[in-house]
Amino acid sequence: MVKKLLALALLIVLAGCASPASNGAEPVNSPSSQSGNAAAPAEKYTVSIVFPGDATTDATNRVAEKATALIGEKLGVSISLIRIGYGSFQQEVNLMLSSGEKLDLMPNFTFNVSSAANSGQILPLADLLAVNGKEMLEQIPEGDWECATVNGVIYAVPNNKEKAMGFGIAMVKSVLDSTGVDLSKVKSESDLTELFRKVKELYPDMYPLVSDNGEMGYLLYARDELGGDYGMLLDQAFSGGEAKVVNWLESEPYRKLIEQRYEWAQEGIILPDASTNTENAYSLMAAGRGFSYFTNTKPGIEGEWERKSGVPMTVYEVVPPFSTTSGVANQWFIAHNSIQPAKAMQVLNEMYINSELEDTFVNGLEGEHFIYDKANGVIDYPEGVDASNTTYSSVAWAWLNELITTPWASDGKDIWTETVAFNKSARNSLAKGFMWDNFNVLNEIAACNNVKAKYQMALECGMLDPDEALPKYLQELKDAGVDAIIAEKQKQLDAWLAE
Amino acid sequence: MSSRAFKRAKSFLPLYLMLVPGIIYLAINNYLPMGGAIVAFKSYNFQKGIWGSDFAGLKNFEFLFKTKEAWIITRNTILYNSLFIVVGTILAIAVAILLNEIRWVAGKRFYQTVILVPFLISIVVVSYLVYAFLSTEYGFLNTSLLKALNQKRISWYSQPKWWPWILLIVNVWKNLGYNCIIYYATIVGIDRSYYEAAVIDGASRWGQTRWITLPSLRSTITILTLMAVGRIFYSDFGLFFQVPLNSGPLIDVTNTIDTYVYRGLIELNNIGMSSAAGLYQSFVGFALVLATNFIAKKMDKDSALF
Repeated sequence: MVKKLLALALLIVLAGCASPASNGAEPVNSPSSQSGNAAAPAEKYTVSIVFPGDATTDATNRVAEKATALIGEKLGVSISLIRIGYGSFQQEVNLMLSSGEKLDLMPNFTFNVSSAANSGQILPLADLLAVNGKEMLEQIPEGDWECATVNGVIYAVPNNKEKAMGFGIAMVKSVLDSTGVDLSKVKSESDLTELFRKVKELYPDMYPLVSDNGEMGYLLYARDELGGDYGMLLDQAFSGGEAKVVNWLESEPYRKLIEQRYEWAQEGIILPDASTNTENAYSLMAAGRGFSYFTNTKPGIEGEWERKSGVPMTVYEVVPPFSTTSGVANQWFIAHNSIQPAKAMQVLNEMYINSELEDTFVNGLEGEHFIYDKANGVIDYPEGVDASNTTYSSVAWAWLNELITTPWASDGKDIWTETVAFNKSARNSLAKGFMWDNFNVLNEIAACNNVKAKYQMALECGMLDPDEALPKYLQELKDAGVDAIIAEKQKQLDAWLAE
Repeated sequence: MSSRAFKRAKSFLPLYLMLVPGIIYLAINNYLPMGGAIVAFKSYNFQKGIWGSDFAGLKNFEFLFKTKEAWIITRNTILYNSLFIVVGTILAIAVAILLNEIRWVAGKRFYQTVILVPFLISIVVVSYLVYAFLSTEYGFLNTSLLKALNQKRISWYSQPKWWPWILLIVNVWKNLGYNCIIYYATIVGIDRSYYEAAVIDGASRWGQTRWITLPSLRSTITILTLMAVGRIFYSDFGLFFQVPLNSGPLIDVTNTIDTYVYRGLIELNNIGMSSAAGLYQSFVGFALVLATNFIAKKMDKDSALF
């Protein structure tokens, strides 16, 4: 990693001369870009978009052509689309941003708005929105814009999708049914013990709780992580409690959770060596070796699990939906090297309101990547195509507005109405809209991240005895400066609340 | 320039010409980008670029030295690498000498290839091979060996005490072939007449090895060791991160400078701090090469690198 980042830095030197100062906000004011068709430019401006996920170059180019056909005339642009695999997205986009390669629009996938804004990777959007993004500006609620605001300036456009999160447990339906356990009494993780024991008794070869590539999924407790990096608000944040930033790992609820996990591991309920497990939870379930996994919940989550595991699943929600700044963390940026940000903003606006365009970007080409079932108002894969062999994979949530696209048959045609209801039902954190800026405590965070790597997964998988390991963990975090991080976060939060 | 010197240079001209592509490559790939090391002292901003970004002094370096972890990662990095250098060199020479003793040509080729194969396997694949041995449930050691010995299963990935040995074995197994071939090439190049003379003087096999082979290898050993020492502050990231499967309980014995930097910065995406770590490693490596070369020169003038 060090070498790669260094190599990147070196590449910047090589490309040094190519990073001119001319890519700032200047072109915003140029008359030709203010009103696309009136100026009738000789050459259409190409808006370059990058997006994560797998797709063939050929299919991607044809999707871009279709998009150009849809909005090219209206906005005087042509669209270029590049899809980059998940694993290399961050690195390749970083390289594009630093080498000055042509790039206009990007989803924030793996990038964080606050550090991207502070390191100059992206452009401020307020002026552009007012002129070229009016519809978006009106339609997106004020609270969501706050989650895209850094130092008082809007830097991103939040995606329209589910903006809240609940926690629950995904279980293999047939196994759950055969235990006959009534889930309605389950209010927390420890209430699951009875169910797990029953599963263990009925299926001795099956582990009642498994990990996913070494991760245990979500801890079933509602909290506002305040942008990550240790300090957070406990669940009183959702019922108007006090805004006291605490070290989650030091809190009573966390200790209870990991003590329970340790007991489970001792009883053989959790997959042994869960933290070094190299298999996916759903493949363990498909193979009959796993029963459940702690998942997030949202409309359509059951279908998502069924598609992955290939067996009927039940998702039971334990922690009802809540909403924090990170619930609005999927956003779109305009890259700092965009030559005509005004055009980029027009395209972004169109993505938000034009369902035909967004359908094309999200789902690809009709007849090739999906077929439209007019009677039911849903789409599905054509004959012989499925998620594993399609040439244009659909990653709806990362696009700007999945709610205006045609739903997939497996999600049901009401998925977007359900999503809107889900968002409405969520409890809002008192700190929703607060943006954490970690610049002043980077050293402490780097040190704490190393301590975390040592203990976190092992504790949450129940591999370590909390009585011994937790005090050590907390002491090492203190030595690494966790208190300074929490104090800094409290300071920023107080300042934000006072505004 | 005297005509003699000119003639001499002219006779070497083809060789100098052959050197040109390598020098151009080095200049572009290794020397030109060195200016970029300045990023380590800056708070990097994408819009301002390398030269325009604000200076941050030594702030980017702080995270490397701030905690007591700094001592552990430095200790681990240096001790592991020293161990790898010593054990790796001794075994590579031993195997190279043995290879040289094989008279059956097809067999020699076969062994050579087999020893080299691990070097060519990606470390991620190696980590799965190791996992096949060590997995608690299905691992070879637990299901076959320990079972046959009536021993209890060992949860390898949560017990740090085994890992210095495991890492040493994996490292030697993986890199032996490459070093071995370099030594073997040197041994093959030794003039046969030395050995003939030794045989006439009644030297045994061991005597020939002790008094002819090893002394002839001395400069190769020095050069390879010097180069290894120059990289002593770098660790094989794959070996220390992928092979232990990033298991938390093992971190005290598997954390090195590279894995520390990775774990600390993976989420932070901070170019300045990453460059600082890289620069620090190169700088210490450079100093160590100078020091080792100085010592080598003191001991034997001819075997020093420069």
